[in-house]
Amino acid sequence: MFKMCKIALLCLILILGTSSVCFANDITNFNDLIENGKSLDGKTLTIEGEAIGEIMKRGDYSWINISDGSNAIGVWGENSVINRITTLGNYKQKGDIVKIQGEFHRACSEHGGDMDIHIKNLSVIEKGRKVSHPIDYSKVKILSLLSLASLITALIYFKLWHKRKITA
Amino acid sequence: MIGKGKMIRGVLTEVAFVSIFIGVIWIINLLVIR
Amino acid sequence: MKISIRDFDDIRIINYYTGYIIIVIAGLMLIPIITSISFKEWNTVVDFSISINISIIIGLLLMITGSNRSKKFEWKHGLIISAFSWLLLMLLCAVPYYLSGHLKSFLDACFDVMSGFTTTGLVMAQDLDHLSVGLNIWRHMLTFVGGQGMVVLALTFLVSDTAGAYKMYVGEGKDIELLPNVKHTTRAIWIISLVYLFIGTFALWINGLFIGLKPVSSFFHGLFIFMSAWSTGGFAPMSQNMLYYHSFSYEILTIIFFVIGSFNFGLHYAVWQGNRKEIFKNIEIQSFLVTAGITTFLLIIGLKKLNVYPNSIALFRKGVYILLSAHTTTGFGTIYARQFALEWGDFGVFILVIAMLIGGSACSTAGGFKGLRVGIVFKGIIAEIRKTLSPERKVKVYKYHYIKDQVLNDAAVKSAAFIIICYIALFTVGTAIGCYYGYSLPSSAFEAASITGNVGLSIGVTTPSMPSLMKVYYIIAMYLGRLEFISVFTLIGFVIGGCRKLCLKCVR
Repeated sequence: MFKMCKIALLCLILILGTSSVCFANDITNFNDLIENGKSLDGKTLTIEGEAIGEIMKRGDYSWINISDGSNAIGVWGENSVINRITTLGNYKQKGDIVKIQGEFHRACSEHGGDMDIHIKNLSVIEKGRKVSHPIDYSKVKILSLLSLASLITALIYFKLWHKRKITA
Repeated sequence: MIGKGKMIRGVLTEVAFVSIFIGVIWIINLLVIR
Repeated sequence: MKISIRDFDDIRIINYYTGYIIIVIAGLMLIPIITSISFKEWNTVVDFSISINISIIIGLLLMITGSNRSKKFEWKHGLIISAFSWLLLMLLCAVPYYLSGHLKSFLDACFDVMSGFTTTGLVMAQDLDHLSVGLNIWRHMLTFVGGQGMVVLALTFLVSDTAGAYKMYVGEGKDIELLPNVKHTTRAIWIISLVYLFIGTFALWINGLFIGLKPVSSFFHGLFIFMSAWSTGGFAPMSQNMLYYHSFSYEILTIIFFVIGSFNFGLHYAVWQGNRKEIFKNIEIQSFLVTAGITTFLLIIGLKKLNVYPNSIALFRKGVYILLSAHTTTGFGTIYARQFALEWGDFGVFILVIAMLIGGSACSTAGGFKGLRVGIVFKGIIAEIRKTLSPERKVKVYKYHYIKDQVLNDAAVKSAAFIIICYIALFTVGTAIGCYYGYSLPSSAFEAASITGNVGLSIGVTTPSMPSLMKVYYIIAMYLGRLEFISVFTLIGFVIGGCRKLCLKCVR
């Protein structure tokens, strides 16, 4: 009896352990998607990245582009799902970091050949926040020196121009 | 220099020309893919 | 040991006008400053303020040490001023880029600036998706102004009538005379560009609203994409280039604008004057229709054979779009760089290389051999064959139509062929350097063609981690390709000649 339980437990562990391989691995480097486009085509996978730009509403569905820092990929989903993203990345802010599980297409037939992911699940892992760009005061010091220099140069130029006008 | 009327007609001519060009290529595209 | 005053006269003329051009372009830096102030991007304001000051100082110093009344303004002065001002401007305009922190080195910043000026469109800047609006407007402005020409812009404001104006104009790679006075020609070029800027930005803005962009951002996207399309540059505000928008309509609009943008300014002017037949008679349009038609057809069948795309819309939006983008030397991309190598196959890559090298029209914002030269050389070959076949006593004059009917004489064919050979040499050396550093032959050839033709599509070779020598070569190649060699050769000749004179005098 005990042996049966041990075997059952072992089988359970093996099944659960190997089935996680069938689930999507988390892809955080989108170069993997591009390089393995053909083999990953049509598969369900999970990506993680920052939502950038804007949510582009097209009827009941929307596009959002997700970036991994060097590449960005388009993600297509229902408005209610995509609108869970509230902060989008640009100069002034870092966008929400999201984890998206969806069907990957190397060249989506529905979207004119775009490489995209159609959402199955979306979760916001990390909320976006404002990014401060504090003014670099050493730059301001250099700026003031340069402004003085250009003023002096301009004065020299106008004096010379005036002199040349007179002598002409 | 160039009158406004001529300008508008010029722009329309060029846009029309290029649009027709795109249309022709689109048709060739469809024919080949069929 | 006396160095004669005459030797300095050349330098004085060059300095004066180079300085003048720099001041005009420095003035442009006010636009990103004002933009950044309105968006409260203070660091960008500081970066551009520093840059504008450096440019003003250098521009004024050049004008102070220069003079516009020393001696006769010769052809060499015009050519050298154009070539030299482009180099100086590259260094000065790289300053705000470098200060922003988005480039890994000053060389990378120079690369991006030269890529902008020459309307190439290859990018070294990192993290485009988090760029300030001020810096983004600068990037796209560089390509818009560079496409028209920095010298052209400066000549528009030139108050005094200079004999040298036309010579500087030609030095920048244009020779079309829309109007007898070159200042009027440059103004006409700007008016045409600004009218289209207004129409194009408006059209893209409206379309942007329909595809889900917010009003203010749709305006800026429209403005940036138009400036990039018209100048056949290829920069885009986001890292995914055209793929960001996921929109067929947006792409169609860009095709219209970049194809029109690749046409000769003389053609625009003629059509706007009412001469609509010019569009059909012009040798460059004919050449473009033929080469674009053939390359598009070959690419479509090549991609179909490999079954790269699932349906005709996808094939059009990826294959045809990119081919037209390559042929007009624009460089907008609707796929990721690596996909060319991974999915298109060598035949597809080869067709693109040919399209990129042939390029757009002369005296436009496009690059490459130029349709005019391809047309002239092709007709020249046909004429030669006909001459050999026809009876020896028959004398036939062969003609081609370029704004007006022109004679297809040996001189025309020779000069066209000479420049084509220079481009081929530039391309070959670029391919060789790429192969030397370990990139595959198709990839090296693709990138070299993109650089030589000032296209901007990348197969993945252009990255900040590229060897520095390649970056330097690419900068030189983009520069030579855009200015069409002659002015740069003149500059080099002048510098070498000057150095030789100095050395000889020191030895004596």
